Amino acid sequence: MTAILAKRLAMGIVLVLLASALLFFAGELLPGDFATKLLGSSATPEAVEALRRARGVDAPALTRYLDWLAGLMRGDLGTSLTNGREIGPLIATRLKNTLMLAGAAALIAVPLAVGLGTLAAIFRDRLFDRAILVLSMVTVATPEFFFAYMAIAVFAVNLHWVPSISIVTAGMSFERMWPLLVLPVMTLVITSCAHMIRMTRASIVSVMDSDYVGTALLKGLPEWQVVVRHVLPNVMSPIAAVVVLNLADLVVGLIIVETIFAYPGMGQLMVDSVSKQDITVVQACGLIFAATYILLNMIADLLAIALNPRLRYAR
Amino acid sequence: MSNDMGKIRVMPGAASGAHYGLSRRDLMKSAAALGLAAGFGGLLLPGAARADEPKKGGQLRAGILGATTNTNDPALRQDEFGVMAAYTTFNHLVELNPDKTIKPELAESWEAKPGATEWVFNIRKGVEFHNGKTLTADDVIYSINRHRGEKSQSGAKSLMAAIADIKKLDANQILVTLKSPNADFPYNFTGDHMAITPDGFEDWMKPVGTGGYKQTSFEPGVRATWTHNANYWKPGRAHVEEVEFLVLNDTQARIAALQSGQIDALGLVDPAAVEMLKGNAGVQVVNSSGGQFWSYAMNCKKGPFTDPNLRQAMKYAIDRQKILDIVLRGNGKIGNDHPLAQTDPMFDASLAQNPYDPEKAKFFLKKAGMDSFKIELNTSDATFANSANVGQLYRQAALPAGITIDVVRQPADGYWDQVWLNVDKPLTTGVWMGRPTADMIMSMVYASTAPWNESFWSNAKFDELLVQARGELDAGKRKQMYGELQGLIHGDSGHVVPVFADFIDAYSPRVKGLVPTPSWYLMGARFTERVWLEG
Repeated sequence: MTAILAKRLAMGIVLVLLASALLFFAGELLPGDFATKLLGSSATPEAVEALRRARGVDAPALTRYLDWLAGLMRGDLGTSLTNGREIGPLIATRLKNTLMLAGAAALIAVPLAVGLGTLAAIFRDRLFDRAILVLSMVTVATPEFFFAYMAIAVFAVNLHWVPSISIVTAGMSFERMWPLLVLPVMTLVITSCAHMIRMTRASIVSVMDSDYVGTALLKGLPEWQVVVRHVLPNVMSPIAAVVVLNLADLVVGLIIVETIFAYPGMGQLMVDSVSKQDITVVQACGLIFAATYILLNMIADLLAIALNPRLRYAR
Repeated sequence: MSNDMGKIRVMPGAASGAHYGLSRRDLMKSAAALGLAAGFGGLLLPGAARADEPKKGGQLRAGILGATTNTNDPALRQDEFGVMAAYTTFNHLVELNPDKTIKPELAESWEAKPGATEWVFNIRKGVEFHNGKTLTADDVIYSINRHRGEKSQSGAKSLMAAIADIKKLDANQILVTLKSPNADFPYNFTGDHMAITPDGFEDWMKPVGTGGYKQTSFEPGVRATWTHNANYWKPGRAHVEEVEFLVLNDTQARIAALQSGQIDALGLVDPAAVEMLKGNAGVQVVNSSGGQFWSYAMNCKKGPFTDPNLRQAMKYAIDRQKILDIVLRGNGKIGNDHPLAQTDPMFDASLAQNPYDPEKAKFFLKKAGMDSFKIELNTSDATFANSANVGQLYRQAALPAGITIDVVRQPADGYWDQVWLNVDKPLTTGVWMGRPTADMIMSMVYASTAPWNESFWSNAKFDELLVQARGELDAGKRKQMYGELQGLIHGDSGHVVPVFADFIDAYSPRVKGLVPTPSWYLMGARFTERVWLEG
């Protein structure tokens, strides 16, 4: 088990390094420059040159990449190109907000999806199952921004129940904060549930159909014992993997929702920085997203192995 | 005072005790001159004006475009956020009025020595910064010098490069010496970069100014808040108790926030949203017709447009009214191939409008020795929204004249760096926000040595006259000179100006004291100081 863990971890680190190189050099390829963006209509050549020199972007790309990596090793994410502020503290608050939003959405979405998926499996091919199927297809096929704008139009503009702008601030009380989270969380729950529902249902159905469940029933075990002792252990592994992968999607997929609701999280920060060509911030955000994705994928894999003895001893 | 443009030499300090808001007569006049949005007109009826005595208090919330890269540093401020915040926290030496005249702000008066190269500014006495420090000449000199010199990264660097020297005459008086005469020089101190801060001040996360509001919190790219400065020196201004800027960048979310009552003020409204907003009960839409114009730059240095006949042909081959009607939905004015709006004090009304006339375009094409002509037009969303569609309208209009315009849509990233101002591109698209004075926009875009001479136009007569006009202190002569300068641009330059786009703002029903202001969005960025809240 430790050997597998070490191997996975090493692979994860290599992947993060690859992602960092990709992010850095892709940023280099972008046309244009933060200085001309920042100075806008006042970007005379000398002002641009002065700003570029002040931020140290006149050094060769490889030198800057290695400097950046060395900084990362020390836990230093660097400074923003446009305003010279440190990126670390900036990202810390944004990451906290993003994790809070994703966490709130996951708390609702995971039990809801697993529950609905299980019910759909139990009422297989009946009306309930069909309705869930159609609904989940629709939500999977519709882009997030559609639900977000619909939610704003109905619940904020017409009914005035909740605000359409979700600007949370540090030190905000829970009573003041929760109304701000309603619409973004709702949008995220709607769009992230479908996949988990389908996978839960499919896993349970396939296990229920397998020979050993039939055998267990035939040898006279009561149904609840069949479910607890034979079905559940076997569906846990695929469901856990799907849930964790969806969590990863949730964290990195927040960009659109955060932008629409002006929610001050990582996604919005990244969009901001891209539009200003503040490449150092984009790189830091991208790296954190990549690391989160890789880490959660790793956890999904390890869970699958831990919950499935066959994989544990496979190699 | 501000109406007397006779001799600009002396701008009296008569402001002490004067009424700082506009008088009703001024208000009516500017309203008539600027043209009001239909839904807004009723507000300015005399009866309504009398009932609208400014009220104190309340929280004013605005949706503002911004990013995490924003700062309170006047040198590096950017985006709508930077501009709006500058006029909320700080004062400037000179204030720009809604009719584009100026009046004293932190400079209580000024005077040009004969020749207009030496300017004496008298700094207002008894003004205190938010931290209790009293304003002196040292603060002013420090604030100006931050934009000067080799190492300055300021956006106002080129504007302040006109200054040769600044000298402190006494605690409340400075002498500014220019490199060359400029009769409009005080206008240079109205811009948002030229905010006055205490001497040596650098803590931009907690800015200190003399403005009507003290900043109480600042989260770049998220929000900022202010509370009323009880010690504010300017009478009849800064009426609300609290100001909050919410950084909103998504177009739909901005409109929804206004509709759902989460914000009171919104600038940079999309012309396409105007009708919808007017349908909302009480939402006030204010159009300010000013100097924001679109441009097509024909390269006069290299390629086909070195022939002035082809430039003429292009000026007659565009249907300006159609672009205004379809793309701006009427929220603007048609252009006449020069940079001055009809609201500009130097606008020359006697200059004939270049009409859409394919026959005349054909005539100039013949004169250039051609039957037909094919040209590539570079557009990009980096300039103005729908620029590719506007290019298509140009293409349609030019076809009957035998001119085929191939519209190329360039990506927004890198457009300004690689396509625009590139001498190998014969035809590019641009956008200009307008400037407080005719000299500023002409020196910036049309002089042969101008940094953003996007059409590479060079006209010796124009260059010479521009310098003369800048140094001329007699208002009558100036007006005539700027008329001539407009004529030269209109006739010979490589600029096609299709339209002037209105600055469109929207406000919630409770915002009062709104006046169309042609210099920029949200009452020339001074809305936090000028409006008040009802109920």
